[in-house]
Amino acid sequence: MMMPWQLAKQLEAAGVLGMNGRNGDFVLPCNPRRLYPLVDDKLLTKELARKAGLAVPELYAAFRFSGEVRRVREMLDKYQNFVIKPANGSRGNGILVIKGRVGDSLRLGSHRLMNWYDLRFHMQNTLSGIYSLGGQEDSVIAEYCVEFDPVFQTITHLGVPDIRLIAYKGVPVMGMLRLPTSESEGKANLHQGAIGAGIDLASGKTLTAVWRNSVVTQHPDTLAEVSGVQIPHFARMLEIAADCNAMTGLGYVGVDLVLDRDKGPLMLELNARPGLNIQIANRAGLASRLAAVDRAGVDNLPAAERVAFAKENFKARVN
Amino acid sequence: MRNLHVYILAAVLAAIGLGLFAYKLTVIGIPLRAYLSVSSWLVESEIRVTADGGPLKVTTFEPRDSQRFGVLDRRLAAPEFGTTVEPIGPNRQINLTIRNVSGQLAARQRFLLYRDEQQEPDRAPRPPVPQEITLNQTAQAIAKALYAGAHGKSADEKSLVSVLLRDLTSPDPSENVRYLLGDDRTHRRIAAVAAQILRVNGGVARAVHGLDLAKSGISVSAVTWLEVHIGDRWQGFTIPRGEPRIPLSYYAWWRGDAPFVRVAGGKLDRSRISVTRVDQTMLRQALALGKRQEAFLTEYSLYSLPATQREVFRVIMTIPIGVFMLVVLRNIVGLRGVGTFMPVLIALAFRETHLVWGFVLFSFVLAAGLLVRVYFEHLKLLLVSRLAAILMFVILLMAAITVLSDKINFERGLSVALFPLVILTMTIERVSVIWDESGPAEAIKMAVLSLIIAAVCYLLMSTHPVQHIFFAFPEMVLVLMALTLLIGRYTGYRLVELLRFKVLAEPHA
Repeated sequence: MMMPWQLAKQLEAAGVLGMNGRNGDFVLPCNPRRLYPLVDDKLLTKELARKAGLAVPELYAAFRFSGEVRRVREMLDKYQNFVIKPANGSRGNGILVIKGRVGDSLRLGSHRLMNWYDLRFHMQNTLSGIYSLGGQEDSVIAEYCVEFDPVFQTITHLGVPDIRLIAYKGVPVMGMLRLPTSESEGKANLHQGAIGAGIDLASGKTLTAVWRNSVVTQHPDTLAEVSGVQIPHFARMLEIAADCNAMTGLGYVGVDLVLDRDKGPLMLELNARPGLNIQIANRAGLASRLAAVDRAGVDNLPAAERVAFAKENFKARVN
Repeated sequence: MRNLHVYILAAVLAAIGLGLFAYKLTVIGIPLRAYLSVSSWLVESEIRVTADGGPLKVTTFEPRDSQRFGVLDRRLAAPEFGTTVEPIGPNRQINLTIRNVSGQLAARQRFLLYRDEQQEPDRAPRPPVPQEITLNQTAQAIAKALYAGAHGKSADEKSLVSVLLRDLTSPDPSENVRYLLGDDRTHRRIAAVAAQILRVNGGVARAVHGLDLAKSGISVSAVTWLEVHIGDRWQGFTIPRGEPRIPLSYYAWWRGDAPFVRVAGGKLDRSRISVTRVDQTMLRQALALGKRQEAFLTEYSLYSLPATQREVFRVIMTIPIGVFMLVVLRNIVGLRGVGTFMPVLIALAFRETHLVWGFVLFSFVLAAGLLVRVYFEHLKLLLVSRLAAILMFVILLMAAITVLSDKINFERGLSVALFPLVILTMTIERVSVIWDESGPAEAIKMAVLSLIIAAVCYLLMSTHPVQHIFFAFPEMVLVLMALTLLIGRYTGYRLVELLRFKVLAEPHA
């Protein structure tokens, strides 16, 4: 039986970052509160990314008032596939993926059917703040529905797999591939039951994966191997992540990317308080990597050099 | 740099807090524990008179420190009257006067008595003034005869007085005694007559009236005894038994033949004295005693507040410890409940409902509220309407519980006051929102965790030592604040994270 303080010592030696450490040493000093709306409101993030020249899923429509919701059908009927999401949502809540039509009904990504009336109700709820952080009034975004790259075909279930990179002072420090499962109902959030696979920043290959706090090597639905998968365009993703700090002014940020079959890597959203589970997926601590960035003082170098620094220093120790 | 600033601030706060604490503890002598049983009593007197319409004068007596008891915190509330206090003999007489008034008027007096054994026994010189004799010639002769009779049956002055008192109070009184007392056989009359008999025979004596503090109640009657100057001090004798020993519980309020209240120009409707034994008072006394020397710190303490605010602050001062508990649970243990400080509010609500019943009530109403929520889910209602409907249901449910528990005489149910009701509805709202945001499993987990955290906070906040410390030493909040600041800069692992990241501590394969 290991004593708590012994365990704490070992974790510290492994460079593991705790919640208090993340908040006190990185989020509070690096992320000024006034900048949070930039990442909390996905409409603002989209606009910011568009200006910075980063690829994002195309915005089809934005709904800010309940009156606008009545016009949803005429605005979106021309798109076969689209995604409805709250602008201030968190943890993937309130997202509807619409994939085609069956008669007059909308077909959801989860193979359920929904009529336009139900969609309007969902949007009204979203506007009244049901999915927003803190429950304040919200907007609804309708955007391009990502067709994920075939490389993920065998290792995902229902939803869209995404790649989470953590960028600190312009340097990507850790990455994770998040794979939806039947349990997560298509969502890519680990706490909802998705798989997280660590990524070797140098090669873009997946490492071990974590699912429900245990280490797995196969996807529970498809039984396909989730380790050792080469993520296409990974270098481009690192570049996008490296740009996000300067773009938002946030020194410590989680960057969520998707890989579209046709459009390549698209930046989905940013997070000012990215979760710590990524450490378990990578079987590596964040604290030591963040300290390495601080020591190197590379934040003023060009993006390519910062990415090179990441590839050089944050190689996987195993594999 | 930032850490240094926090450390210095925390050190300063802690130093101020602990310094004040140590000073109050050692120099002023405020006790660390609340219930060191030192007796004190709250005495309240209420006088109601009906005025005739002309000038009205009501006379009563101000309490004074006696040989065994000290008086504290004396307050006189007689708003309609003009008040003067005049020293008359051994008493301080309160004159309440008002001109041209009719109808009922009230005057109240309230003070605290505490046992104060330090005072010297009454060594009083023999009063120089010859004392008033009210008896007529015949009565004086009878008084002399009675005195002579008692003198014959006694050995010294003390036993003489005892014998005399026994004669006066005998169930089968002699002709002489009957003549002197008339039909009035009250102790007050007996004491007055005994004093007269002794005065006629050259003694110095007076009646004493006061309270037997061993008997407390809403309406207590005054006790009367006799004081005779023997040797160089006043010696008390009980009535009716004439024992030369006054019980330790007797407090002497006023002396002489006068009744407690005299009314001129009106009618006395009621005169009532209540005595309540007060606990927690060693402290109160230390403070009040301190008042004489340590004016500032005690004058401006929470104890100087009126009773109602004092009780409110007794509760409020426990909030910091509950909040601190929450900080520890959140940042060091890693547990969090609904809302930021909701568990502390629930803990406060538990104060009114008590723990077990509070737990049952909260769980039941919460569960019922959430079930209704699940049902409403199918109706596809907008957020605010749905929450409003749930809250209305909760209020109806609580009304039903209260009525039912009243019918079956289950008193606990009635303790659902306004405050717990508000907290409960807020909790249901928060849990509902979590349900929407993160699903039922998370919502139920959070609700259960909140209740557990609330119970922990309640247990801590409701213990007497904790309440006492923070009420008597509010500066301890500064120490808590210092600790909170330090925790605010604690960037180490939370306890639950040790489990969560345990896999990372193991050496790699």
